[in-house]
Amino acid sequence: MSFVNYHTKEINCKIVYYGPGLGGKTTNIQHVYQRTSSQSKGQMVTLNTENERTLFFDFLPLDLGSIRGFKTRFHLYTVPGQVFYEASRKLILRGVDGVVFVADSQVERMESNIESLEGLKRNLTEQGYDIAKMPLVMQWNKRDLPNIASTHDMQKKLNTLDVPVFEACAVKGEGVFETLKMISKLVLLNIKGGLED
Amino acid sequence: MNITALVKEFFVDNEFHRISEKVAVVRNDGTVLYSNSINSLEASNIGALASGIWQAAQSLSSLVNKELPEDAYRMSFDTSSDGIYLLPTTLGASQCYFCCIFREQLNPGKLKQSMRNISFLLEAFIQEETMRNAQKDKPVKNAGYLFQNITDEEMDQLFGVAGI
Repeated sequence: MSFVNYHTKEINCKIVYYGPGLGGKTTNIQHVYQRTSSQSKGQMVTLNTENERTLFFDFLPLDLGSIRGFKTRFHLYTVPGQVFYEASRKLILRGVDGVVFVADSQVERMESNIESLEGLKRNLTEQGYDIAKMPLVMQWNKRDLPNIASTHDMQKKLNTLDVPVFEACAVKGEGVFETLKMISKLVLLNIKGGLED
Repeated sequence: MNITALVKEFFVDNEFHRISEKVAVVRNDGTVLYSNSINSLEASNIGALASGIWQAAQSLSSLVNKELPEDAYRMSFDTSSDGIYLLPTTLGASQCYFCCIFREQLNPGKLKQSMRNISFLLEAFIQEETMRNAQKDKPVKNAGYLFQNITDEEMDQLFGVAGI
């Protein structure tokens, strides 16, 4: 999707938060929404079920500052994590510029994390992307809970691509912006197309 | 060729941006190419939702019909006076949607007919401009990445603007 308008010097990028159900994807962008100044954010769109599970996607447009004269806007999306919403996840990945994989650190959620990551690889491939070339950041969320897997274990099982990792507790906002800054940087560095003469 | 500038020129010069309350042209990944909305963040929401509902509807329809091409469809969500109308349109190499959100229309059918005409004219305009500009488009100086490096300080400044 990354859309560079050289005429108006604007960059638009699409970042998707992906991961298993109840892993904290929506919580991540809710925190971004709450902490961002009102002139920099649009209305957060949430398409939820009655019990507040993501049904289709959450969406938050975020205007950041300028970098080397280019105004930047990031479009943050989450996918629905529940396994039966695979079709929605595929649609939302269309035009993606960068992915944050939000893993649930609880030991009993490891299989769900692995299954979701496999789904991400498969869906990216179907959309014509190579996950190895896609800007990707891992977030080990829910580090405040008692029954969590070690970071070593999570690294070994989930981060075989050796991408940047952040520990987080999204409900408290810990690690949320660190993750977003890193994926934003990777996405900006991945934008193709040089400057016009 | 700057497609966003061309689409804007097409709508504003012909005053097509006045045909309804909200008018937008959205790429199929949610990118807004044109919107008459004053608030550009609101336009982003329209882009995400318009492309989302189209794609969801397309997936649903594929359950019973795999034959029809995407441009054979159109999408309505309306009453006899208010609603939303979406039309697929191909601009250059991009699949896009022309979206109108309307209210208090005496004759929504007439609006939809106008939109179909505008969509046809827009496709022809972009095609013509694409051919005309093909000769004079400037070559890019650096065909690699836009940014060779970005420091952490630059990222902090970027987010600092949003109060983060």
